[in-house]
Amino acid sequence: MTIDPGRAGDRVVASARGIAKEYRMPGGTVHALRGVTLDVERAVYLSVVGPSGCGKSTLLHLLGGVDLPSTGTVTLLGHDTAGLSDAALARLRLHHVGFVFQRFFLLQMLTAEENVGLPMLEAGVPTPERRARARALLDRVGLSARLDHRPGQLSGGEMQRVAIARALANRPALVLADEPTGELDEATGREIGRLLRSLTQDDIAVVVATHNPDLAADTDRQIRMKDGTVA
Amino acid sequence: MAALWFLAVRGLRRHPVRTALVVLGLCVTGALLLDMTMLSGGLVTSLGQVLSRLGFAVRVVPKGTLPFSGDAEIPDGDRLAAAIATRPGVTAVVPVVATNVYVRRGPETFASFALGVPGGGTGAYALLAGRDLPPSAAGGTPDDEAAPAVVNPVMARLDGARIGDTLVVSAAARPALASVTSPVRVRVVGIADFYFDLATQRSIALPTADLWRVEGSAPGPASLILVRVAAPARIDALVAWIDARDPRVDALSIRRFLDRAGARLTYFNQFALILSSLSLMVSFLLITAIVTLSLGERVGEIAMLRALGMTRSRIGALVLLEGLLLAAASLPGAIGLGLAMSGNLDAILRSAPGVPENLHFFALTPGAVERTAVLLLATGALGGVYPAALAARLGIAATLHAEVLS
Repeated sequence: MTIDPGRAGDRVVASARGIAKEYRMPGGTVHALRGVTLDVERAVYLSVVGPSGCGKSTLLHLLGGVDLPSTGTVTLLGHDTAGLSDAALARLRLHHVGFVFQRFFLLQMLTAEENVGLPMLEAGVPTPERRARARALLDRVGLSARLDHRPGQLSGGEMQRVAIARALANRPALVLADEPTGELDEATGREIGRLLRSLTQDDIAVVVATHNPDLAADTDRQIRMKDGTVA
Repeated sequence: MAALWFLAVRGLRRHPVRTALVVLGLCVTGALLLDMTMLSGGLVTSLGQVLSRLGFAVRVVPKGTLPFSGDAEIPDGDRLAAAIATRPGVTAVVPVVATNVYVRRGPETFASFALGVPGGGTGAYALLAGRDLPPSAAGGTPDDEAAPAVVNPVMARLDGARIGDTLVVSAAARPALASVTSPVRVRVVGIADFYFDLATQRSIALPTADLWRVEGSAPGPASLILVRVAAPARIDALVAWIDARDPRVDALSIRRFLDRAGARLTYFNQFALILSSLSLMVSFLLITAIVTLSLGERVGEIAMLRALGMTRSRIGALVLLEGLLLAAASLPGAIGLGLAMSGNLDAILRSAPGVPENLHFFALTPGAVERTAVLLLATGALGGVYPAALAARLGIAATLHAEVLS
C-alpha cells in the first residue's frame, strides 16, 4: 500500500471517533475504552493522563494502528485503520508513526546506531543514507559519542534518547510515547520531556501517555482519562 | 530481506555460547545424516567406480546371477563370446572362467580363487609387477612345460610366491581325490591386483585352456564374459541383442549390474533410512526447542518490531530464518565430522569377513553432500515453523502491555 501524500499532508494526523475497546477475559468483558473522540493535529504536543488502567495505553495503541477499536473509527493519516490489511497497516506505521516505550525495547545485540537505523533498514533506506541519518539523529538527542555503544552500556535516560531517535528514523508525522519517563529519575524525565517537545518544531505530532505531572504540565494539551472515557 | 538477515544473524549472536552448543549438536546429527546418506548408496557407488575403472561396458553372466556369485556357468561361453565379438562397436570380448583351486608350493598347499583368461592384456586384473600372461594362449600350454600364471599380492605375501617360482595347481586338495583331474604345473610370471579380492583371499590367473585342464572339464564354458564397447550409445542395443540371442544369460550394462547389486543390498538402505530419519528428527526438535525458547525470551522485542512496522509475515520469516541459519551454520562441521566418522566406520565394516578390498561402504559423492545439505537446511526451516507461527500471531498491544506489567 502506498500512502496518499495529499491525505498524509492533512493537518489532522490521527483522529478517533467514538472509539471503544473491549477485551473478553475469562472473568468477563473489560471495557478499556468507551466512546473516546479525539483529533491529533500536526506539531501538537499532547498528553494523556489518568490513573493506571484508565485506558491511556490502549488509546495510544489504537491511534498508532497497533490495535483496532471494537467500535468507532480511528483514522490515521486519512486511512481508516480497520479497513487496512495487516501489511498496509504495518507499512503505515513504518513510514509515518514512531513509538517510544516505557521499557525502551532496544535490541541488546545492536549498537545505538544500529538500533536507530533499524526502522530505516526495514524501510529499505540505502546503507550510506541510513548511517548518516542515524548519526544525525543520535547527535540530535545528544548521543553522538555513544554510536557504537550497546544498550547494556547506556544509562536509562540514554537508552530512552536512543529510543526517541529510533522513533524519528523514518521522519514520522506522529510520535506516540507510552510512559516515556516511567523508568527514569526526575531530572532525566525532564530532559526527555524537553526532547519530546522539541519534535514539534519539525511538524511532528507527539502524544504521551504519562503519570508524570511535570511532563504533562509541559504539553500543549492534556486529555484526562478515567474508566476508559475522556474526563 | 536485508533487515531479516541482519536481525537473524545478530539474534543468533545474542547468546553465543548457547548458539554454539546448538550448532555443535546439529553438527553431530548432521554428521550422522551425511554418513547414512553416504552409506545408503555407498557400496553400489563404490562398485560402480571400480566397474567404470575396469572399462568393460557389459558383463554377460548366467541368468539371475551376478559375476562370481556362484558356480553357475555359461555352457558354451566361448561360442557366445565369438558371436558378441562380431557385433558393431565391440572392441574386445573376454570370456572368463572362475573356480576354486588348490595351489601347492613345496610342501604347503592352500586354497585359492582361480581365474582363467584367454591371454594377457585382457584387463581382468591389473599387473603390479613382472610380466603378464602371453597375449594369446588359446591352445593351452604343452604338458612338459610350466604354464604361465599371475598371482595376487596376498599369495605373494602370505605364501612367499615370487616371480619365477613354480607352483602346482589342482582341483582337489589331496592327490587321491585328484584322479579325474590333472594338476597343472605353473610358473609365476607376474603379480597383479584382481580388483574384487577379499582381504586375505589368494588369487591366481592362468590361461583358460590350462584351467579347464585343471578342472578336467571340456573346453567351452565360461563363468563370465567381459565386453568392451567403443561407443557408449551402442551399449543398450548390444545388451538387448545378447538377451534376445540367449535366454540362459543376462547381459548386464554397468547400470543394470548396479541395479541388480543394489537390489541385494536393500538392508543397508533400510538401516540408513532409519538412522537418517532419527537424525533429522533430533535436528528438528533441537532447532524447534531453541528457537521457541529464544522467542519466549524476547516477545517484547518482537512486539516492538511489529509496532515499528514489520508485518506478521516478515516476523514469521525472521524466526524461520533463525532456524535455517542454525542449520546452515552447522553444515561445515557436520560435513567435516561426517567424513571423519565415515572413514572410521568404513574401516570397521571393511574389516568384516567377505568384503572385497576395493569396495567401500561409504562413498563421498557430490550428491550425498548435496542431499545432506538440503535435508539439514529444510529441517532448519521446518524447525522454525512452530516458533515462527507463534511470533506471527503475537498481538502487539497485548504483548507490550504484558511486558510492562512484568
